[in-house]
Amino acid sequence: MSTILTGRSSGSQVSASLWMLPAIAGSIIAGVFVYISLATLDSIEARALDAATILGATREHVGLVAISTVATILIGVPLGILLTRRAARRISPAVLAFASGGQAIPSIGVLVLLAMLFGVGFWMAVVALVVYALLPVLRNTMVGIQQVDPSLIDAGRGMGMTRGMVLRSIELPLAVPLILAGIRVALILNVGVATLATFTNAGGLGSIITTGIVLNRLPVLVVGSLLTIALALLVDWLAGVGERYLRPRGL
Amino acid sequence: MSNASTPESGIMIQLDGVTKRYPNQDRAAVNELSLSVKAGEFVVFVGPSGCGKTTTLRMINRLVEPTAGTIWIDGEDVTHVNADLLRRRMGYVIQHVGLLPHLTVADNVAIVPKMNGVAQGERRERAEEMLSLVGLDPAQFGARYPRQLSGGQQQRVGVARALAADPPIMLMDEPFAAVDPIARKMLQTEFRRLQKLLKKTIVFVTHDIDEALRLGDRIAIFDSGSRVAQFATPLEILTNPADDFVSEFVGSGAAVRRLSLLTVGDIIRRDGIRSPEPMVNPITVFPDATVQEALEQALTLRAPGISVVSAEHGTVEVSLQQLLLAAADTAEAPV
Repeated sequence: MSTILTGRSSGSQVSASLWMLPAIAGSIIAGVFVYISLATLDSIEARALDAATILGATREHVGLVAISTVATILIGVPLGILLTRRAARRISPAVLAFASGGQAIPSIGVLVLLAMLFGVGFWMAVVALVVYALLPVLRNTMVGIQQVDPSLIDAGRGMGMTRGMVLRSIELPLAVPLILAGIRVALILNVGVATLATFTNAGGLGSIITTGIVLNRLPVLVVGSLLTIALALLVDWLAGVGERYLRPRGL
Repeated sequence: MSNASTPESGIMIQLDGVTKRYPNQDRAAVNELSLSVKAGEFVVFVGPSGCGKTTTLRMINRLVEPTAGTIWIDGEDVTHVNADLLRRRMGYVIQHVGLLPHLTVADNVAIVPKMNGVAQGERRERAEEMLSLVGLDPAQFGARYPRQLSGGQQQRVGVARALAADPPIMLMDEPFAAVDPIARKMLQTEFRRLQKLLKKTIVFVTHDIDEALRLGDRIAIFDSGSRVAQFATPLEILTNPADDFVSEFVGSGAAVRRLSLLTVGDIIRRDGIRSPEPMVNPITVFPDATVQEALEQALTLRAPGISVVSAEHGTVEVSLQQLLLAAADTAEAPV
């Protein structure tokens, strides 16, 4: 994960593929519901896959992803900005190492460790997800700011901009594409990792998958997995659309 | 701060014993430099790389803080004033232009007026005015983004941006070095015309002696030891180089290059020379033509001499030989 994921290039081939992801996700979801309504399910399967359970699990999952991603952005972007300031350049390798460590530890390990230390529940899972997803946001924010052409900063300073003005009107706008790419990676990571939150009693689509495994019901397991995949595709698509519209023009 | 006295009036920029010493370096990047630039003067700093010319320029707007010495701008000691506010009083143009890629051309030009709190409508007008001034149609270019412009056009926008707040001083660090030779020549000519029109005080850094000779009212030649070897007019430098370093830096052909700095009017006014006998088919030139231009025309048309028409002297005929000898003897163009 040490590579920097850049934003996708804009162009006509993107607009074609733009509708691919929601189309695939939509067909998966439609397929799942057609299957549930047509297949003969035993009572355990029927209870695990009734509409209320699925909707509730999905809502929990989306909540986990949304809250943890917002928290990741709120921590990662300001921290990334701070670490590129002159005063903090010395400690930035240490912080990056910490963030890399958070990501190198298997996600289930982070979850279980945090659960053992601080207890279980929804908010504990959010903390674990933030630790896990911090690195791409943090690193992309730092690299986004560091890769700004020094002659632009020289020109800005030479025109009489203060350091804060240089940050606001030069460094941050030009770092936006990379920051957005980092956030997109964090989002996708979180959709996947949030399936493990069920082990710390935080619910989500993982609980459907786990039910399928524990009760040895393949249809339940497959439905939970397919819904997670569909959600990941939708989230990636939404993030991609966001990237297109939030990226500054002229770049 | 310093014992140096306030500069006399008419001096826009004065450096008194300005020194820049970087930590962990034996030699000072700029050592005890003193020089002054008159209001409305076009001064060029020229020298080999590492001679301290750019460092000196960047000390004038305090992008580099001097280790010692005093800098006066328009009679005010600016060594300790707020550097950000100081910079808004000076235009700054750099080789890499530094247009912000996410802002349109018009918004780039309006950056400093915006910082100074100029209202939006007025900013837009100002930006359009500046773009027209540097030869870009605001209707065509204002809404474009910098990457949609050629290198020469980008540097025009860079100049427009530096002029937008109407600063009395322009600092320019090799502004035309990165554009192609044809665009460079055009930019030089137009910029020289612009300076005559706007009467800005300009400090211009270049490593190209030809550019310096073409543009500068006065040229400061820095040697590799960050010493100013000579600070004089182009003609003076070509005629009387201060030392071996200067003559070597100026290069060969000084006598011929002077011909592009002298006008035909200079020659006839100063020497009062006349062809002894009427010439057959001399070419007619105006007194503000340079000797080089007159010579070029005469040689092209195989004319034996030139005929200068002026209100002051009437029609004066001068043979090519007289013209060249007189040019060689004329040290300084009369103002």
